[in-house]
Amino acid sequence: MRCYLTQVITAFAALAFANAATAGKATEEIEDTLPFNSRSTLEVNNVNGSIEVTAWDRARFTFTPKKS
Amino acid sequence: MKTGSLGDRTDALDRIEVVIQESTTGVLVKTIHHRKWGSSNGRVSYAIKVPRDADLRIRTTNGRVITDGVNGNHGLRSVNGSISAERMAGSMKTRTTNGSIDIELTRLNANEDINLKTVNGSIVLSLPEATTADLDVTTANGRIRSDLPVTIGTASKRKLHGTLNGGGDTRVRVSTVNGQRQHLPAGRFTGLFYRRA
Repeated sequence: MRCYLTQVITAFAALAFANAATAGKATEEIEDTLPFNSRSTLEVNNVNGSIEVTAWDRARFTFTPKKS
Repeated sequence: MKTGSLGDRTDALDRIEVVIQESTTGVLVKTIHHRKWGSSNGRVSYAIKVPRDADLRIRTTNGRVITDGVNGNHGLRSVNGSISAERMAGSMKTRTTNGSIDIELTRLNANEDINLKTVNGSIVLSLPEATTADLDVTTANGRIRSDLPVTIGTASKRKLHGTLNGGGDTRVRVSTVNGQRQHLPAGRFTGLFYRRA
């Protein structure tokens, strides 16, 4: 009986670990940077999802798109 | 309630491509859904930092647009989502269908026009008090109010044509069909806003 319980607990732990690993892939986040050349236009075309643009005092663009 | 397995979900994410590339005018970012069986599951939310002097051309179909602190000539567009812009400067063309528009401009030069339009949502525009502009404001099922000293040319409950500080080279056009809420801009900025009648 004790051996059986240990196997069940081990199986649940393995399942939880696998789910956590897979869940980590359900959201993707990448980052990219481009230089700024004098006066530039930032054009963004998205379908589903919000767009947040914030000014900063550096001469480059930084992008963090997050898939979900 | 979402259905489907995590495997389906990750497959859907794999079919979304994010393209970031330099263009002839600056930088182009686009989301491409490589659709399977006509579906387009999944979403991409962007957080972008830009130099203070940049022109923005932002467009999404389902989602909010938020900007802060950028000086330039801006076009912000959504279909199902609100548009919010704080501490901005320059011309502004903003359009959505289902969502409110809340724009704060800290500086506006001559010939920098403002054009704000929504169908279902309120519009709040905050301008520097010294702004000289011609106004053209319309609403179908809302109310027009202004904290600024507007010189009225023609006005009714739903339309207002007038000037700010004697008028000027700047044209301000504001239009909504169903304005829903009231908002009073704070600080040294004053504004126009709509409220459902």
